Amino acid sequence: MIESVLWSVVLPTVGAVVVLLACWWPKALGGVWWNRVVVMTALTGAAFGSFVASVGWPVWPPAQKWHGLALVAAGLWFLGWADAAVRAGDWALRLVIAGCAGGLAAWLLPLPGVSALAVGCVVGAAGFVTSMVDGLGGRGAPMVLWMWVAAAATSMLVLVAGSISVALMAGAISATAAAAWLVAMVLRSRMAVGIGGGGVAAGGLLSALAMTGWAYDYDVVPVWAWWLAVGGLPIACMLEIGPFEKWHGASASCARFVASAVPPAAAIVLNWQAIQGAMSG
Amino acid sequence: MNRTIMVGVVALAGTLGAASIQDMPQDTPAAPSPAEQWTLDAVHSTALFRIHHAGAGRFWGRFNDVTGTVDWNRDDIAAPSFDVSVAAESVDSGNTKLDRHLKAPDFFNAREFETITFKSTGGERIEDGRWRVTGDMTLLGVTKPVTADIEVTGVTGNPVVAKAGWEARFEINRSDFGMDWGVDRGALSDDVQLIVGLEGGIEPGG
Repeated sequence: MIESVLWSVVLPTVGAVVVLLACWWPKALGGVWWNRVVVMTALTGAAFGSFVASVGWPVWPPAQKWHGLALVAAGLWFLGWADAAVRAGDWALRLVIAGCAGGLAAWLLPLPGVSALAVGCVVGAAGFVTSMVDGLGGRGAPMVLWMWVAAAATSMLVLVAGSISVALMAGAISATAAAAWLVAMVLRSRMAVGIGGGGVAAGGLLSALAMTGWAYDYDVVPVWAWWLAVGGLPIACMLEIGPFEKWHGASASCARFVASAVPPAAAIVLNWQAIQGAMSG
Repeated sequence: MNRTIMVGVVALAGTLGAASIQDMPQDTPAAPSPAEQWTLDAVHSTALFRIHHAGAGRFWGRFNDVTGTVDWNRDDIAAPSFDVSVAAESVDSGNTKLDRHLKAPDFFNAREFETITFKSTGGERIEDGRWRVTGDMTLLGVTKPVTADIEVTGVTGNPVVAKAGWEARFEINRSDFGMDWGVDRGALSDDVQLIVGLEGGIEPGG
């Protein structure tokens, strides 16, 4: 198991960190759009790399339905370029891109016992929320921190459900999100703008992984736990609108991170016994 | 007159005799009688598998739900023909946590591929009660030819109500079927030995 973690989590994360450093080091490239593309590439690349390390290169058509996850990661990476370029207020265009992400997941990830419509709606909706939050200036850092906790929770729940490779993919995303935040903190003085949050690719990929874990689960993990694992960001969205719209600064970022991280953290705490059991097995 | 009658009787007897000789069975091989169909008893049929774990111990697991039929004539030397189906969800390692992993996508992917099947395609006799049977095995939706050594372990009963048992032993490389987890890094061996114990019955009207 340790060797699998090294190959399928540590190695893809190291690759993602190399991407982050290589792209952020020259300050001249540190634009808003570019920083979003870099984080999105690191997250989707880590997931794709983890899949390749565990299963091998994806083939078409996929030999098993869940193998579509690698293709979804690749597809979201392409959509991520367009999503990163959308202006902050252009919600309609974000909706179109999120709709494409949902359609892509519905096509490439035909999970057993789950309708394509359900897969498309969940991935599309999650992608839309993360795209919206990432579109607001300076929300990248709390978003990648949320991704760190949410992907960690998803990884642990998927492991409890029994799917090791999918758990390792979510683990690679979690480690990459944490690494992206750390690298951004180290290079903060050299970066012209804040880091990106992953946009439509981040939410789309995380929800696709959680849905896959749930679809192959034998009712071991309660349904509410899956929702808690990925459902933090909509709560943080509440802190972006109405009276909170103009709330900026470190306290605002901290509050938004805490609000989004509480549900996935609760998913971990409330299922800790099962998680411990799965990790020791 | 008496002589004429005598000749007539002898001629008639000769004709009838020749006719009866023509009707007698010729010395040709008898046609094989049709195979009986034995329905597998799910309670007394089991599939065991053995795999090498971490290059150390040999680990055993089993499937509890084995169903199907065997076409076999107990009076014939021809190989039995198997049509066996194993429910992937019935995998049982004796450890609930491990069973979850075994049912999950990395191994048997039971949500997607509910059954593992074996259908005979031929067989050759090794000795009395032992055959080498070839067939198609389908695992994870991938069908590959495999060869199993089969031994009849016993037959009881009468022509109307009977039970028979067979034991099959064979080996597969699980990566041939796309079950790759742990093969590259030696966590679990690629080769898996299978021992399938089957018991089938024939019942009136069955």
